[in-house]
Amino acid sequence: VIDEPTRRLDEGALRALVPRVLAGLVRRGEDFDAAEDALQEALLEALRVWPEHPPRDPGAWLTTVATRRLVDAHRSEVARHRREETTYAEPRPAATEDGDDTLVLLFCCCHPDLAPASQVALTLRAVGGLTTREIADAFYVPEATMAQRISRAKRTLRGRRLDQPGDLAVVLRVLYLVYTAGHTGPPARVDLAAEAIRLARQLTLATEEPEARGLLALMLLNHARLEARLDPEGRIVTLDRQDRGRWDAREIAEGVRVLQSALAMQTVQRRPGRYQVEAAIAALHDDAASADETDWPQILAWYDDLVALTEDPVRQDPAAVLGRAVAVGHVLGPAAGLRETDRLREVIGERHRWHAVRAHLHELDGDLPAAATAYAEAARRATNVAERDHLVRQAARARAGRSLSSSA
Amino acid sequence: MQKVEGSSPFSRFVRKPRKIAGLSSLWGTMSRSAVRLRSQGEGLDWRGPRHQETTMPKYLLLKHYRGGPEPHRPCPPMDQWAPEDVEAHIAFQHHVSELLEENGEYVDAQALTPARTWVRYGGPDAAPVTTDGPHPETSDLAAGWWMIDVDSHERAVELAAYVSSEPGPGGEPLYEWIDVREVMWERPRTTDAA
Repeated sequence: VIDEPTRRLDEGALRALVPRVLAGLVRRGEDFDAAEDALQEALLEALRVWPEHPPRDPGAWLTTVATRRLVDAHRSEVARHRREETTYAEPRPAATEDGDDTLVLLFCCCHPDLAPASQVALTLRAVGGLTTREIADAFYVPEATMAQRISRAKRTLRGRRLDQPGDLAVVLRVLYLVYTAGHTGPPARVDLAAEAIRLARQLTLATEEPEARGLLALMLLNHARLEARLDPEGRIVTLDRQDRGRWDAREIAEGVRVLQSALAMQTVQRRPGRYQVEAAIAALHDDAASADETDWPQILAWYDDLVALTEDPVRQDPAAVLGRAVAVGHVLGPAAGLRETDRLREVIGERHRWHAVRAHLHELDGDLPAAATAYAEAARRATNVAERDHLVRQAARARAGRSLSSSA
Repeated sequence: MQKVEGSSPFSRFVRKPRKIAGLSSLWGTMSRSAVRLRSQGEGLDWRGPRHQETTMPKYLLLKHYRGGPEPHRPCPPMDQWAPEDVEAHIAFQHHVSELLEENGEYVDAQALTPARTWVRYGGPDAAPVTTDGPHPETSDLAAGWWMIDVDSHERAVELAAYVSSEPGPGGEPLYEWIDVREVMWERPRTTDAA
């Protein structure tokens, strides 16, 4: 076994410094693009040097090294400009914005002019402190591709004012995107879900917005079940059959606490947003000691709130309508649930989830042949191998006339 | 039926194309949609309420030696093209890889030889059974692919159509059918409903 000295370094602590140091550089008047590059180089150097020579003040060390890089870059820039006999543009005056560092940087990285993939990449680097290689590995793309994505994003941002408050809704969506981009099972690479939770926690310290807390709660309440979702062979275990003893009680407790603090801020004019509502649904699942004890009527009530958030939920939020159909199936009966899914046929009838939900409802109804057909249709459209295999198994089981309760 | 065996459009296809001088300006003026293809997400409202549609899928853009739907524009095998048309066609393949790299959408590109061997289990204590033909002329024969990492299926279709605009004889678009296939993830995403 090769002992890796860098592993002894607390990378989490190192990366937590990134937003503060970067925001400090930007406030001093440095260009975001250049400052971010310089800090990335400083980080790589820290990973190399610190295990042997830990600095007394890590933040100051990073600032100093990044500043040195910036001075070098300025110098070669000035030299280049002199050669071209052009005048060197004055650096922009220092921004005086004194908001929270993390929030300022998140607004910058999640600029609405950037495509989602770019927002995610930039956020993970400039706020998360991940290296380009780590981000590339997490998304299974070549490092050069991710580097290009990041530099394109920064080029797009060049010349924009970045000291203005941005769009918090976009920030929340980007963090959720980071969370969903993670995969279940043992994280061989960077754990994107854990990273998203870390960033969301930082965000809740920077803003009072209840939806930020709603998002953090949603992630925690969902993440708490992650371990139980696959068996040791990597097979999917559905919610109703999971070993609830493997759920992370600490995460559930924190998630519920965060959600309650968000819901407590609601008023008649300000109803809970979608992250809080989805977190509430997750909390109700987490709260049931067994699948039979699930409070479906209350879950259905929250789904009613969720679909009421959009004007045309069938088209604008079909996933919410589909989730609601499951709840309807459990509260009002499978036939009613199936009728709900009919409304979605035109919109998501080609998606595997639609067929999987119908299979589940047919099975609830005791109609195994219809369930088998729907499972097979779902399997044909699955977009990941584990789920495809799971749906094929379900189809074969239902085809053989065995209901879930009689199968081991 | 487009036949390009012997002089595959992928014959000089390289995985990591280096910059070729003058190429971008050449295609910048010739291609119909290069400007739009270079922008990433601009003009689209990403702030819609559809936050569940956020999977960042990968796709294969598969090229074929033969097979697929009826060709839109039948054309002779590539070895019968004018040499400059062959050059232009090959240069376009490099250009596509470069474009994808610049966009941060490139994952992989590979070419396949047309030679094919079918193999099956021969039974206990028997050698594998192989056959290398003859195969019916109508059977599919993949020539190679680009793997891309993009925001949406729509984007994959847009890029496939651009690939299909590759120049053929006389510099006219080839209108080749491109097979767009989504790559499955090994494991479910964090938020996939269990």
